[in-house]
Amino acid sequence: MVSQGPEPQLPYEIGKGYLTAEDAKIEAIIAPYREPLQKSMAETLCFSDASATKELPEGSLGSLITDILRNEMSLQSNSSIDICFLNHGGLRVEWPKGAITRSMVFELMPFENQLQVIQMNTTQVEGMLKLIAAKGGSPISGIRMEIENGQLKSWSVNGDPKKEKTLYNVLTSDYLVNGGDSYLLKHEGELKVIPENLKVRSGIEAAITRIHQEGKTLKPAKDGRIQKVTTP
Amino acid sequence: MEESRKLPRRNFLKAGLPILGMAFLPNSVWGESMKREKRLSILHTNDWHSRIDPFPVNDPKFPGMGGAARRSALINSIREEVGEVLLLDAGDIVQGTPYFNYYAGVPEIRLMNEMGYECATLGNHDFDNGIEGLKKLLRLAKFPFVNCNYDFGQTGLSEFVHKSVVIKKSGLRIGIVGVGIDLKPLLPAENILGINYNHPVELADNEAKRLRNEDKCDLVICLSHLGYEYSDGKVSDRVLASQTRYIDLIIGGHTHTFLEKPMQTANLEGRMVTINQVGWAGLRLGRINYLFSNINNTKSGPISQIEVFKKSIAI
Repeated sequence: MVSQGPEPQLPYEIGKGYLTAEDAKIEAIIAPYREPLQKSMAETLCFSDASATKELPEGSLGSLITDILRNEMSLQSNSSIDICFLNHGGLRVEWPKGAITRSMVFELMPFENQLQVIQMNTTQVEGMLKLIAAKGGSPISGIRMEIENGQLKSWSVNGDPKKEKTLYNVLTSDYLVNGGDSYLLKHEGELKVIPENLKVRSGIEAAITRIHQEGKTLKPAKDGRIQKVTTP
Repeated sequence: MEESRKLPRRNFLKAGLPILGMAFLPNSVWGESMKREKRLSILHTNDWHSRIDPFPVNDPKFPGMGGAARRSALINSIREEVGEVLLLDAGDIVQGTPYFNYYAGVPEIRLMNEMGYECATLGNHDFDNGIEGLKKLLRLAKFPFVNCNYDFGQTGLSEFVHKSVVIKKSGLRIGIVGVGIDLKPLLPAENILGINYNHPVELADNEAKRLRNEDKCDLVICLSHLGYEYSDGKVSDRVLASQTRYIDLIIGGHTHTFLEKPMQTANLEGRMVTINQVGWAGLRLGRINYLFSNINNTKSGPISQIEVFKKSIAI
């Protein structure tokens, strides 16, 4: 039998936050690794008017990143990129309002994945959007779509509901092209690697650096590009 | 000999489960008659994801929170309070900050060595630099890694990764087995060449049975990187708990689930298995206290008190 004894006393309140000291031994191990990176990583690349957050079916972060990548790669490849598509789980942190540093770009996209472009016909794009609908949404640019009960209800590319274009350039990562995120992208389109050997992270850095150099800021917002609807 | 009673604190297990006493009693409270009680505090993290520094102060979700130096200070303060602890991690130690891009996981493992981690399992991101990249980290680690459901074939990883380990602590024998998620849908094929995934449930329970019956463990823990729960019924910590007989506690990861308290799931014998997971990035430290009673030669237990620190490492 166990005697009850007094209530255990914790030295702090659970749920109230607890300011711990920093372990100096640990800090001493970190410092030589942190210092060589600090200057480069703390560099401000751009400013954002608002915080950018991860949400489904559509989040301001996913829309921002796919929009700026689509624009940047259209400029760099001197061709029209119709759609940019990344996976929700691949964007690893949210971005704050204010200064966006190089470290934040690394933390958002820490992976070494590369940008790739696939040419897809209308049927193939629709197949991709059906998988996105089943997943409950995704970061995507160039598309407006409605999802009902996990099914694709309607969609359009860049304001063209008739989808008369025969081939679309879809910008995404080699991770998705190669079957990542449980084969989210079951593409049958033709693979075009443009530009070669450009990491997704480098594409994002180039995009926001250009925006900043043009004297502009990031304007993350949800614009209703992916909507969940219910038929009454 | 067990006595159920309600405890008012919300961080205690709800009534209906045997609550055997307090784990925080100062030593002076324990009289001579209490000498047959053994206490164990398990501290755990999962999905560090190379979060060595705190999040930026303007981060939308976790402003100024986390950081390895504070994580360590908190662990040390608990050591001062209770003496020995058992410090564990459930995988995805690396990938997520520039530290990993530039240093390939070396500082993370050095920090875990210094903090006194005693065992960890492998997460999918621990394979992000391939098998050779992982081996470099496993060579550096001063603590064992466990996994029983990856067949490492000729990769050489079985030299570093054990199916299970037994750790002697506070006069107890603690068995720790590890399980991991199917890597194939998550990683490029070349990163995991030669590794075969096996379904974890039966393998983990066989290993747990051996730990309990042959190695005479007082407690069997499973470090899991399967994920807490999936809507499509894919194998998870909940599934593992409900379909096994010999595991007492599952410390999980992968789904970055911030459980508000450790969860209980009945196993095949109807006994409750405890599952805990503390989100990611070292933002919280999990803490589970056990009290083992051997009075009158009856072993009762194991769970005395369970709690999770919420926002414990915040500014």
